[in-house]
Amino acid sequence: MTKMSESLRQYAHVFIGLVAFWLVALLGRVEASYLFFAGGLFALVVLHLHYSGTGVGRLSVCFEHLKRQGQEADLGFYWYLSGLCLLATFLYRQERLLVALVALGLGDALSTLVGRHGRHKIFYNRNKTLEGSFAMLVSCAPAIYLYGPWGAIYALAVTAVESLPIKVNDNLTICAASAVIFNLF
Amino acid sequence: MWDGMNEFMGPVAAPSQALFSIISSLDFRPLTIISAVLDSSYLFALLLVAIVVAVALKAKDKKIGWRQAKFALVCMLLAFVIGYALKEITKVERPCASAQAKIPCRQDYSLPSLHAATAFALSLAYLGDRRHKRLFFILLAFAIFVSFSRVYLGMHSTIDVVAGFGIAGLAYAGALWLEGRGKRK
Repeated sequence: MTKMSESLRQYAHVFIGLVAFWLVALLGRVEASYLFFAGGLFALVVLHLHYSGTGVGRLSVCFEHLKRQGQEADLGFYWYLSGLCLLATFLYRQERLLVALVALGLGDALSTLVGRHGRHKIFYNRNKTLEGSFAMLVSCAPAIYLYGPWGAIYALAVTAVESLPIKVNDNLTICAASAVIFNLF
Repeated sequence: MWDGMNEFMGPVAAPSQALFSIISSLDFRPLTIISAVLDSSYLFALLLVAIVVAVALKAKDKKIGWRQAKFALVCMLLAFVIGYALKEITKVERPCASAQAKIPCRQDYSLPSLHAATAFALSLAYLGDRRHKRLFFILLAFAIFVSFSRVYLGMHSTIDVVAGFGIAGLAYAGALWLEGRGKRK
């Protein structure tokens, strides 16, 4: 995948995060969750049509353009919406949900965009850099501002989860970690 | 529209039940009978396993068919385990506990819907499958119907179904991860 298409992918990531943020802020978490659910179903239909070889017209070109190199099937869009469904259903407090959406939408994209230029590799994951993780930590600033020490614990935990070398999509792991940590306090 | 924003700035409001009220107030006898049959956990589990086995038996390449069946079963099992654990952690009361339902209310918890989670997990197991192009759509439609029937009966609120969809995504990611580990070994 070229740097250009990776950037495009991350801008799309931020855009969807922003849309999700405003949907939750304006409609409320329950109504927004219906839209995430509908979006997830739509994503599944499109992904199946594409990967089963039926084709989805011009969308297929988009898929190929945004697909990560070396991946058989890129389900990123579906993981994102699935994660949003998890967040919207398990985070009962709206401001916590919005904080998690900032970490997911902005943090994950920033960590990739900044991390790409980083020089200091993380010792347990040579594909990620300390600079990228720092960007992720910065994007969790609203949590630190709102919840103090608990927010800092959340920021550190989500950053740690994002940097782990596990083969599960970041969007899903960040959402699951956010839901677990925020429900602890 | 601005209620959501007020909620953002102020205390947490009770989740909206508008869609749940509309769906659960419907009354159509054949639909009630089918939904009541699907409500039985044992019958529902048996039906899901029967679908998986039938697809495996119908496959041209039996080896691939059974491997796919194994993946689908792992997917559903993970969805059940994660969902069941979350039910016990969140301990959200079923809507039928405080409102009238079409069948006797179950004594366990509501969030997430295990019926929805396992049905969506089953459909996800056949996502992008070139050998069974139509099967995915049939299973997805079945999962949507099952989700609808849960709300229709009054056993679950709409947010439980959305959570089930998210859990199915988590289970699918977990099954893919386990499958990847298996291949490496």
